[in-house]
Amino acid sequence: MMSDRLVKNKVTLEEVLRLKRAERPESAFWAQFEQQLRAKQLAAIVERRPWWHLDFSRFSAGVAKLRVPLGATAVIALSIVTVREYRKAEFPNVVEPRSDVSANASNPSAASDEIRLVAAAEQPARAVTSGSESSPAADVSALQMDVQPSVSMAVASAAPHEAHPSGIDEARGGTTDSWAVAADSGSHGFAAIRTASLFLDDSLAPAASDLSGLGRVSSQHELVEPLTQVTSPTESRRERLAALVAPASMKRSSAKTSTERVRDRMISRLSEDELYSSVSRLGVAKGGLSLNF
Amino acid sequence: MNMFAKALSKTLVASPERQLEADSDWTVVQRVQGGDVAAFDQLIRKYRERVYAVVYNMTSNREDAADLTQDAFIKAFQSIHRFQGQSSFFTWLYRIAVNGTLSHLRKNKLRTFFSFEKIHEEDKAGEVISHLTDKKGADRELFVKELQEKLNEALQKLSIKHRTVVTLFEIDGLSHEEIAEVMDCSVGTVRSRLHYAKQLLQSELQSYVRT
Repeated sequence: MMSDRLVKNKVTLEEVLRLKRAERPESAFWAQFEQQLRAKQLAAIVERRPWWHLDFSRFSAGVAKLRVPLGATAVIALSIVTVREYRKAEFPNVVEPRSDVSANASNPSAASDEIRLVAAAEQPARAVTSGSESSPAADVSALQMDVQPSVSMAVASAAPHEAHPSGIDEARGGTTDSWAVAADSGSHGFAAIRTASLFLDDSLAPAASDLSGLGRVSSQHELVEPLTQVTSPTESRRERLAALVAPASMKRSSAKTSTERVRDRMISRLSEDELYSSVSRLGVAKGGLSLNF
Repeated sequence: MNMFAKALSKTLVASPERQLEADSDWTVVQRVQGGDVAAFDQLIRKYRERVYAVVYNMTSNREDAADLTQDAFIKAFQSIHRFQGQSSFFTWLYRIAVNGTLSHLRKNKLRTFFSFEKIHEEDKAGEVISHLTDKKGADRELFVKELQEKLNEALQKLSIKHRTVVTLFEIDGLSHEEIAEVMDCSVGTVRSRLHYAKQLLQSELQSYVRT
């Protein structure tokens, strides 16, 4: 052994192992070491995450942005559906004007026709009860102006009766039966309105076939009588109307009837029973009008 | 307070110098945990030579030692928020480095490639070498190189655990208790391993070592 020959004095194991402590790198090594450590430290800090982590974070960020608008939309939609279902369940057999309007919201012309028709239906009744100066025939013509062409056609089918010469002559000529003629014209107006309503239902039904519940609502229209919507005039109101209208009719009338007689006749004509009997004598069908004597 | 008491009870077994060192390290660690990342550089500069020495004496390869030391500091930096001060920081850092080195040596059991650092003869190493030989100049360098190779071969003949114990005790100067804490074993096991490892080294280095 070369070592045996070269070793002058043997040392302890601890002293030999102490030589290992003296094995140290140069100072340049630590500069490189620190540089590499910085690079590894940065790489560890900005370590690339797996793609599913990135996609999930993007997805969750997107959902977080839309969380409030989506939630608000969902709440609004749920409340609308709930209110609609609740109203249908609460009033299954009653016509709801608001629901009609809301159901026709997608078809503004149909909705406006409905509203105009209701307004026009109230107008002749008001004219009859108040004994207006304008003739009921003019009211009906106003109705013709309001409704759509399809409705106007239906009203026009009833127009020959309104334009009956005798009716107009009686109304404008100031005969003793002028109020009876006016009442008859009023009943004709109601009949025309009903015809128009039926026609309007028929014309709107296909347009609203895709809307749930509209057909049901339009069929419910037939159950409602127009006259039920007219409030019956009270006795005092009837008297007041008769007092107002009587002088005008006296001026126009060439007959030698007394004021009391005219007033009595007016009152009797304005009574609900007479009005209903005169209307019931009229048979209104689609595109036709029959008169019972 | 409970945490502080635990740390105090652990570090009481060490020397007063170790205690002061552990306290100052704990202050720096708390700064790092509070977000002062630059404070970790203090710990790196303080312990890089010692950690590197442990890893180098375990692997006998300077490149592997450099990589493993850097990895140990990176792991310590990444998990410093989990350090609760129940042990001293250097023990915790040593454990990270030793475990990483043991894992590396197990993976590369069949690959043994040495690359040595130069022995600096300024300290006691020069006295030891002078005691062993009278040679000067190139012959002395050749003698030192031969001795270094013999020493590292003898260390590599030890098992990984025995080599680790010898490295931590004889080279780095840790106590039995600290080695037991680093290696997660009992003090008796440390003593036993140390005794067995010395016997083996004695037989391997009998040309240089007196019995």
